[in-house]
Order: sequence, then structure tokens, then C-alpha cells
Amino acid sequence: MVNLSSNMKLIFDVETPSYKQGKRFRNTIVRNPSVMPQYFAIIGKKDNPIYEAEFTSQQGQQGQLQQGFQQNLKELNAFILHASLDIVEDLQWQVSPNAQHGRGGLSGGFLRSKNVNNTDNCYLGKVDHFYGLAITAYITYGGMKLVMIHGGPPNGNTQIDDNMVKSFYQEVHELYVKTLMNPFYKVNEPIPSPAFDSRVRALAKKYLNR
Amino acid sequence: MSAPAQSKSLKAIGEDTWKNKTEKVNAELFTLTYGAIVSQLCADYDRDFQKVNNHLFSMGYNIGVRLVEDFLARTALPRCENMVKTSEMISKCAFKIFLNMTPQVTNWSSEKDAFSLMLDENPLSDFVELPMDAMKQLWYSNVLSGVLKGALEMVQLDCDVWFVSDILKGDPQTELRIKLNKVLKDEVPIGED
Amino acid sequence: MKSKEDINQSDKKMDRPNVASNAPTVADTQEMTEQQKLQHQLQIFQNSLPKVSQTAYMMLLNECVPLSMAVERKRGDCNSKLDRNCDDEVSQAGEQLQKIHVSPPLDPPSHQLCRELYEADEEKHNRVLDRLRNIGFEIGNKITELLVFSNNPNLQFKDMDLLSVMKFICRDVWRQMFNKQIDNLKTNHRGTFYLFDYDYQPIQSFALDSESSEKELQMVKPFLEIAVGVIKGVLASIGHAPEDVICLASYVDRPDEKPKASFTKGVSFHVQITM
Repeated sequence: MVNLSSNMKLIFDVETPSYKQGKRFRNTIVRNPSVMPQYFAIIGKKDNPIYEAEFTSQQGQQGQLQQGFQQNLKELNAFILHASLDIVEDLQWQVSPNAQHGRGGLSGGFLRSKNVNNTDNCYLGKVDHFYGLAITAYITYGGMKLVMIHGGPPNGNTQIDDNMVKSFYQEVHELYVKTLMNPFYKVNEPIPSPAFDSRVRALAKKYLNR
Repeated sequence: MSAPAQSKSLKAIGEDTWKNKTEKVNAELFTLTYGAIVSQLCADYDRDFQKVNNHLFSMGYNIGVRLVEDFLARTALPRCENMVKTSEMISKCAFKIFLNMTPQVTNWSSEKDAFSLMLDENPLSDFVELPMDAMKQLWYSNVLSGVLKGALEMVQLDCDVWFVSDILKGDPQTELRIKLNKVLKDEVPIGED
Repeated sequence: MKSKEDINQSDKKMDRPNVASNAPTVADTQEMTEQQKLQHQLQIFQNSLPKVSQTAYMMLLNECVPLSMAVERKRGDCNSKLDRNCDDEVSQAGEQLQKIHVSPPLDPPSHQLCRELYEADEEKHNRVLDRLRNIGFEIGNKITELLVFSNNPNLQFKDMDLLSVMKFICRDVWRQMFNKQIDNLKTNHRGTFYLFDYDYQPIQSFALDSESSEKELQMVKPFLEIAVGVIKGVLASIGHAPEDVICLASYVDRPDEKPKASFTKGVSFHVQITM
């Protein structure tokens, strides 16, 4: 498996412009304490995003709809996620502590099994953070990486409600599997379906933005 | 035998055969396989969906002429005397045994020689979303038309079978129509030696 | 004559991982009950999934072979005439047919198409086989996401634990598609695998006469190609590009201790993966 190119790591190098952008990014969040957006992406086998979306909470000062991440900093989201992919891949290689229990059992089930918690092992939890923003990740069986940047309150690190986030990922995973079942969808291609997009957004509303 | 009584027993036969005498595979696998077939055909013909429709029909026909033997062997049902009985056999027994579905029979013609099957669930097309160009022309489940045509021909019924509407195309329902042309009298069906 | 193992003599001794056994190796009683519970739950869940009849499925799968030949035929016909004429004819006919609802033109019957495939020249024959492998590939490529990996839900990507992936194919994929597992898996632990299926499902209903004539065996061989594609598709979904995978199907003798089957030969899938 190809290791993610290390030039993605430059984002953490002090001298690069992106670093400075990152600081600006964080400061934006600080100035608007009620901005709690998430940036979610599904990354394919060639590190290509096949789906991206930004979710915003509906809280706004004086009833305004939130803007989410500022326009000129949206590109940064992709950078942040790609930097995290290194860590995600490292975690892919580790054996989960739950794997021992899994030995000899759980053979041949289909994905949609809430009773048999196979997708428990897919959720990696918080894999990284970046200026107080948390990044969580989830890997599907076919190697699709679901990653998300969580914007949050500026006082220290963003709190992640693991249960909610995991449920979100699991349900998006199911939606992805349904997309796969469509013969007109080729693996690793972008997901164009508006139905998929609206369902993912509905899930985000349900699990991520209270 | 009065009609209601016979249709009840057909239903019971269908369910019993499905439950106890049928080896099963997961419907999702079936969906996936059929999808791969349609996808390959679309690639072969560069999205000329008319040709894809024809091949799906042909494929179904070739399956149908053999599938009906399996059906008759499993159920040991006698020949149907008229289209009404045929329609019940198809909807309550055949669809049940092979696809675990019971489509509704409606829209009878005045001479009782044509009817429609309303497919409200269809394992062939679960999760399928047609791209725009396909929506205008592709009858995704056209293999079913072929299967029915082939099967009916084997029991001496020359029928036309075609899709009237399809949810995948944006229609409100999926309707498959069967119309009897003539009863074949001991003719050798096309293509058999 | 035992030709069962067409093993490359230069390969080292082939190991035989125990594929069939699902028994957990950990002896802890508590865990056993836990796993039994999980198995039981899984069984209930499996039974609750929507199903179709295996007969319908096998017929659909097998019909791909004559279908692929029919496509080859039609494309050949169109190429020999002027393309434009051919398309016009077809689309006119299509429109008329739609109005009258007469059945579309039918391809020849399946057995005739199979015979044509057998008699076709090598290039044509290979194109048809390619088509079949593509169909299998599509299935294999997506089936991975649908199925749970049996021993290792958190699949180890490092070192591409090939053995786990091959076991997944032998156990889960085969069981989903053919209601049985691969009978025997052999490997040299260096990227070469042999998967033996002595009762390969799709061909069981093809009765051969007792001599198993060479011609009949050759006519049945295309029916193995979809499975070849499936194997390649599963491997591709894990990260082994199809260019790095060789997969070939061939007949093998069935071991004597196996009960008599309707099809006299078993099938072996030789898989070679370049790392």
C-alpha cells in the first residue's frame, strides 16, 4: 500500500504559509464562538475525495444562519484531512484489541448488522488535533477512509461525543454500501447522487449538531 | 374447485415451497450480480440502451424456457386452463418461489386475455439509481419480461410481455404487462431441436 | 491418474491452512459462550436478510456465458455491415416494436451460443471470456464491502496479510455465492495460492456422459470464468491491482473419498500475486 507522500506533513512545518493560515483559521473560530461546523470527507483508495460536505449547526447570533468555515480557508480543510490520513493509515496497520475476540466468529455476515457490532472496529475515534480542532476517522472494509474535522468551542480542545460520532460514521458507511450496490456507480469515483448528500446531511443533523 | 379455494392453495404451495424446499442466497448478492451484468452490457454497447434492453430480454427468455421446468418439477401443478389461473400461478407461486415476491395482479383487459403485475418490491433493482440518459430508455429489469415470455411459451402460451412503467424511470409504480396472443398447439417452440 | 496438484515443482512445500474449521482456538469457556452467542446472533441476522432462490441465482450467473457470446455475435455483425445502417435498422425496429409490443428479436438459444463459443476463433473466444471476467470483477470488487471479514474485522493492511484475504474468499465469498466453502486452500506463503472446489456449484447441473469427453469439458470451461473475475475483484478491492494478479481456472480430479457428484471434475483456481 502506498504510503501517503510526506509532503503533506509540511502543514505542520512552522515556516509554510499553510501554518500561518492555520492560525488564522483557528482565530476565526475563536472570534465566532458559536460556530460549530464539521467538515466531512470520504477519501478513496488513491487519496482522492469522493465526497465532501460541510455541516453547520443552526445556532447563530440573532438567528442568523451560520457561515461555517470561512471561504478562503476552506481549502485548508483538505490539507488538514490529508495530513491526518498518515495517522489513519498507521492505525489501519495495527491490530485492534477487539480482534482477539473476533477470532473464529463473525463469519460471513452482511454489513447491516447493528446486532453484531462488526463496524465497532472501523471507528478510530479522534486521531489527531489541529489548533484545538479534533479530527476523527473511520475506515470501511474496502479501505475507504471517512474523516471529519470538528470545529468547536475555542477554549481548549474540541470535545468529541464518541458514541454520536461513531453512529454517524456507521450510518454513512451503510449509505456508502448502498451506493456501491448501484451498478452505475464505479468504485472510487465521486458520489454525485443528491439523495446521498441529503441523507448524509440529515444524519449530520441527527448525530452531530444538537 | 372454486376460484378462491384454489388461489388459497396456490398461495400455500408457493409459501411452503419457498420455506421448505428452496435453497436460498442473499438477495443483495443477486442484486449485485444482476447489476454487474447490466453494467457490462451498457459498457459493451456504449450506452445504447435499446440494445441493452433487447439482450436483457433475450437472456431472460433463455432462462425462462429452462426455469419453467424447475418450477413444474418443484410444484407439480397442473396446467392452467385460462389466463386468470395462469396469472395466479405466476404471481402467487412462481414469483414467490424464485424471488420471494408476490406481485399484485391488476388491470385485466375486457376479454381477460391480458393483465398486469405490479411489482412493489424488486430484488433486481434495489438500490439502483439510473443516470439521466438511462432513465429515458433503459428498462432495467427487462430480464423479467424475457423470463415470463420464455416460461409461458413452454406451456404453450404465446404471450407478449413488457414493462409499462418503472419506478427507476421516475414512474409512480413498476408495472409489467402480459398479453396472450394465442395458444400454441403442440408446436415446437422457436429454436428447440 | 492423479493430476490433482499441478504444482510448480520449484515451489517450496505447500502449506494447508485449515480453512474449514471455524472453531475458536482460545479455550476459555467464557469466551466460547460469548462467541457462540455471537454466532447465534449472526445466524439469526443472516436468516432475516432478504433472500432469493439459489436456482434463480445460478441460472442468472450461468446465463452470462451465452449472453456474452450473443453480445460478441451482435457486435461482430454490426461491424461487418456499415455501422450506420446497422444502428438505423436496430433503432427503427426498436421503435416499431415499442408501439406494437411485439417481443424484441431474440438471440439464439443458450446451447447454440455455447457451441458457437466453443467453435469460435481464439480472439473471439478470449473477448467473451474477458467479458465474463469483467462481470465477475464487478461483483468481487463490491462484495468485499458487503461482507464482514471472518476472522479479522479489523483487517491488517500491513504486509497485506494475503492469507486472511484468501481465507475470506474461500470462506465468506464462496459461501455467499455458492452456499459452500472452498474445499481446500494451498499456498507456498509467497504469493501463490491454489483454491480447490471439488463440487463447483454452477456446473453441477451440466451432465456429462461418463467419458467426460474433452470437448464437453472445454464447453463447460467458460462457466468458471466469472469466479476468476470475482477473485480478482476481491483482491483489487483490498489493494492488489488486477495487473499484479494472475488467476487461472482449470479442472482437477476429485479426490476418491469425496462422494460421487453429478459433475465428474473438480475445479482449481490458481492465484498468483506479485507483491
